[in-house]
Amino acid sequence: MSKTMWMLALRNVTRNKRRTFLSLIAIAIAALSIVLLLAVVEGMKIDLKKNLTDYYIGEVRIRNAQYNRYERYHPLHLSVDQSIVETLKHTPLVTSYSQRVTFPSLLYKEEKTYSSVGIGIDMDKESSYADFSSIISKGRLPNVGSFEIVMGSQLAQNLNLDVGDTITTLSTTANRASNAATWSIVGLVSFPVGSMNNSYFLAPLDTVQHFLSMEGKVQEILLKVEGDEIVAAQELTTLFHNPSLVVEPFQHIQQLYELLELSEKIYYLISLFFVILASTVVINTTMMMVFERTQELGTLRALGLRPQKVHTLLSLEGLILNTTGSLIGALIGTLIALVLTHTGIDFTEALSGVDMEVSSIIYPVVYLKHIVFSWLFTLLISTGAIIISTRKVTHKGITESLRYV
Amino acid sequence: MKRYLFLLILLLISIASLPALSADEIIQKMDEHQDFSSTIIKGSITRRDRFGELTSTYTAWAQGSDTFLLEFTSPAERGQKILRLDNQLYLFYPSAQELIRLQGSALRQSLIGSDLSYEDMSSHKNTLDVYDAKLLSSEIFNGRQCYVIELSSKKRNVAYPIQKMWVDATHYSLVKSEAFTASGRHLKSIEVEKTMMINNSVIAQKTLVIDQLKKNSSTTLEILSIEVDVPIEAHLFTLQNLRW
Repeated sequence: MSKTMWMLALRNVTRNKRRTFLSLIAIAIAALSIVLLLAVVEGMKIDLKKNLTDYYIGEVRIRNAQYNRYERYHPLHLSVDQSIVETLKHTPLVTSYSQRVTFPSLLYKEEKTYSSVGIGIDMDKESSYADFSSIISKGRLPNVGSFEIVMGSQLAQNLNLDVGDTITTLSTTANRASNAATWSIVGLVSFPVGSMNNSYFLAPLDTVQHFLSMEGKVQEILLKVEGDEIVAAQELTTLFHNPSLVVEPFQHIQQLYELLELSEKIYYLISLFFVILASTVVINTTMMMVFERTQELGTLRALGLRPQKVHTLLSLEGLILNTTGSLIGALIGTLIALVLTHTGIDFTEALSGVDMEVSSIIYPVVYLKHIVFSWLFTLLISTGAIIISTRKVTHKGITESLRYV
Repeated sequence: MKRYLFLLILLLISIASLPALSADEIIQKMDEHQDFSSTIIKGSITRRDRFGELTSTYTAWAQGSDTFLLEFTSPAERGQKILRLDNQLYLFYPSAQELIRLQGSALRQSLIGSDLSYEDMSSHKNTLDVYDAKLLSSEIFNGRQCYVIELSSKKRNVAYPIQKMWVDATHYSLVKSEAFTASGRHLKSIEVEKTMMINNSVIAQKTLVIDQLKKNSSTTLEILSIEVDVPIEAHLFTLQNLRW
């Protein structure tokens, strides 16, 4: 490939500035969109997993072996003895743990009852697992041993409650009897998950244990572990050697893991749809760019330029445009994504009323592999479109090309 | 064959010997036989489900059949109280600062996880105020001659629109009862397993209740001791007293 061909291609690219600019924009927007989309999808995937592990199932979960079978009855008497925490403390593969009692509850206000879910957490030690203090929007976390709660901000708003108010809750105890207690609301919490915000409240574990007749027992222990969760769960099962306990990695917690897998598939499907959309824009622009020059190319061939040379010339022009466009797009997309990594994208309006375990503010996550993929993909698509359209143009006869309008 | 013939004759004699009472009269007599001016009962509620058996004990004070106070005495529920006053149900829990007045759908909740609902505790004193009665037949049930009566509710907002009752023909006490929805779905069944005689009235001492909508669940109510027509201080049935 001679230097002259490169020079000719470069001159052609700069000759028609408007055409070049439009092509560059189309290719750049496609690359930019793909980078951003993949970053958002990755952010959503990580967010969903974090929410599931922080608030619902942990990376590894320890429960009474019988609890899962009867879960829909909320059998709090099928509990886990808190003493096993001592073993967890001395197990290097456990990075943090959270002892919890999650219990359905009816909130009683002005002679009406409202469904909700309470979580008893160890206020002193929970911060090493899930930092609830960081999502307090008003007030403070409850004190240990008190009848104090923090309530999901949307739940509080729905019930017209605020910090300083009290609320009475009715629940079924571990004795399968009922009990009620009045709690002071000392804080409002903005759970990242909308469904929690609408119906959850947090209370001190020791008070909840007393309230539900579960002294020394918890409903479950959620763990964060070093390395592979499945291996960690197996090691812990061997360590406890207790058939009354079930140690499950989150991948084996069927319902929620299926949700995670399903959501990944949905995310990829959405990504694919947008990638196809971006590709059609690139293909369309690139092919039009070649086809509109059919007459010009016919003239070149009439002057003696062989089809092979025309092909090479157009391919070089395409290479210059596509490489530049996709690189600019991928870089701008990366810059925007990096800014959004810190600011987040607020989906509060879009997700209002949607019962999903995804946060209303998504923080995109940028990976180098995604940037390279976006750049190469756009480059490949646009170059492919050039090759196809060039072949079509060079296969036309000279007179036919000259007559082309 | 001879045995069957004997049973048939026995049945015919027993039917012939029943006094000719209407369904309304039978129900009225049943209501009257359970009507004491006051009662103090110590009893137990044993509930069985898929997780095993649990027993709670209580003391209940009743003035007529519309007003009562029930206080749990078993450790798991100690101090919890239920007051029925002016046709309203109030719950008191030691850890709650306010009384809970149950109404509407909340009345359908189970009483301490048993087969009884709070609604079952707010039944009407006079059955005929709420139901139309129809005498279906008479039959021997558990060796006792019984009237079989069908009750159809006059009002729409009744927990059990249709009830079928087996009433002892001698003592006019309830022997068995089955409750259905208007469309005929079986909701609950009650069977008196043991009776006791108090002031010439036969009352249920041990009763088995089965909520047909729950699987593997049943509840036994047992009266451990009973005093009837004894003076009870009126302030016991007040909201102020409930908090103490």
